[in-house]
Amino acid sequence: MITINGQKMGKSLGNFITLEQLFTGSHPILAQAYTPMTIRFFVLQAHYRSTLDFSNEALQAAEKGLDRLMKAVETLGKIKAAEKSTSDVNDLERRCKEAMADDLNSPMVISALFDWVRIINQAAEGQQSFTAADLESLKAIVNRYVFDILGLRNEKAAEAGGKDMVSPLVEMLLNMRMEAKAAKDWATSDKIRDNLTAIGIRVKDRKDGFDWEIE
Amino acid sequence: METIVLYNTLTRRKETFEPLNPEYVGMYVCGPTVYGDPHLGHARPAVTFDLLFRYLQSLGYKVRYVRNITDVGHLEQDADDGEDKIAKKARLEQLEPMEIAHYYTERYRDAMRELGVKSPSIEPHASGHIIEQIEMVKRILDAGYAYESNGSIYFDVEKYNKDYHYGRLSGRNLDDIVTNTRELDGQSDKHHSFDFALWKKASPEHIMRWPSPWSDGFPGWHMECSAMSTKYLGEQFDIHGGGMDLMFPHHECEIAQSTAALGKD
Repeated sequence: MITINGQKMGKSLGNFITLEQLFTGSHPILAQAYTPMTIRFFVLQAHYRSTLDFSNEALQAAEKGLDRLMKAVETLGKIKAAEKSTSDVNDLERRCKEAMADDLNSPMVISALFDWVRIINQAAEGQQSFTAADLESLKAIVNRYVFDILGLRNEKAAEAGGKDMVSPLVEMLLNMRMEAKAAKDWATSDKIRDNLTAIGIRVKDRKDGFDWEIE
Repeated sequence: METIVLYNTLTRRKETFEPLNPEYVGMYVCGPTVYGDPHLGHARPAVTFDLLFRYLQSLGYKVRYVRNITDVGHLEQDADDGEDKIAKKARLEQLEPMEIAHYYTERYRDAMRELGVKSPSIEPHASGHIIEQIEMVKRILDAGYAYESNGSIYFDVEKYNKDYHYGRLSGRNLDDIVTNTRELDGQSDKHHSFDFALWKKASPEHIMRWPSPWSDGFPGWHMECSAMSTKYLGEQFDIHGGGMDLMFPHHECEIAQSTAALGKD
C-alpha cells in the first residue's frame, strides 16, 4: 500500500499525484521536483510488502541518499590499487545476495551498499586499501546490484555527459565559422549557421564573436 | 540455481521458489487500465516486479514476463455496472476510446522507461484478446459454473464454492461475503450480488462492443487476465503479481475463473 503524508491517495483528497507532476514538481503538495531515479530509489528503500509513505522529507532524504551512492560509484572508479586489502569485498556480495534471496529484501541490499559507500569513501581518503583484483570484484559487485538488479542509473552523470558533448561540438563549429568569415568564405559560414538553425541551435553574432542557445 | 524464498499470498508465508520447469519462469502481472496519467500507485508495483524480473534474470532464469494493458471492460467503481472507464474518458475528451487507450498506454510506457522499469516480454491488450476471452467464458459455461441472464454471462459463485473455495486468496469465506453485501434490488440480471460478470451485454449507448454467442457486448474486467495468462504462460505458471488493492475482487475472481475453466486448482 502507498500513502502520502500518512493518508491514502485519492482524487477527492487532493493528494493524487501523477508521475509527471512528481518529475516536474508541479503539484501543490510537492516542495520540489523529484527525478525518476529518486522515486525508484525511494520505492526500493522499503520492502515491497510494507506500506510506503511518500512525503517531501522522505523523498528529499532519498534524493540525498541516491546522490551519495552515485558519488561513491564514481569515486570507486578512481581508487588506485594497493598491495593489500583492508576490507573483505566478499562481505558485500554475501550480504546483497542473502538479502535478495530473502523475499527481495531491497532495503537490506541498500543498507549493505551504504556500509560500503563509507568504506569506499575511506579508501579514497587513504584510510582503507584494496588490491587490483579486489577492486575489480568490488566494481563488479557494485555494478551488478546498483545498476543491473536495483535498476538505478546515474542521472547526474548522464545529464552532465550530454551537455559536455554538445557544448564543445557547437563551439568547434562556430569557431570554424569565424575562420570562414575571416577568409570571406560566406558560403561555408552561412551553411554552418543554417544547419545549426535547422537542428534547433540559434546562433547570434556578437561584435567580439558569437553566442548560441538551444531553442 | 541459487535457493531463493518469496512470499506467497495464497499461503501467507515465505516459500522456497521452485519454478515448474527448471530454468524457466512464467510471470504475469496486472498492468494499468489506460484511462489516465500514470501516478504513484503505478510506480510501486512496476518497480517491485521490475526488481523481481531483473533479479530472476540475473540468476540465469529465462523469464517470460507478461504484463497486460487493460483497455476494455474495467468499469467505474470496479463494478459490474456503469460506464467503462476508458469510454467515459473518451466521451469527456471527445475522442475514440482507442485513442484514449493508445495515448495513456504511451504515457505509461514513457513514465516506466524514466523509472528504469524494463519492458515486459509481452504486453497484451484486453481488446486484442476478445476471442480468447469468449472461448474461456464458453469453457466456464460448459463446466457449469456460469449462467446466462438477459444476454450477459455471470459467474455462479455459490456453485463454484461447493466444489472449490471462493475466497482462498483474500482469506474470505462465502458466508462472510454474503453477510457483507447488500441484496440485489431486483434490477440486476445477477442471481446474487456476489456473482460477477464474465460477459456483459452492451447497453445501446455503450460503444465498446463485440459480437458473441450471447449478445453484442464486452468482457468482464477479470476475464482478460485469465484468458491472456493462459494463452501466453499456459494453464499453470510460476508467479502472478499485482498491487495489494487487486487481491479482492480482481485476483480472487481471476483464480475462480481459471479454476472453473481449466478444471483444476
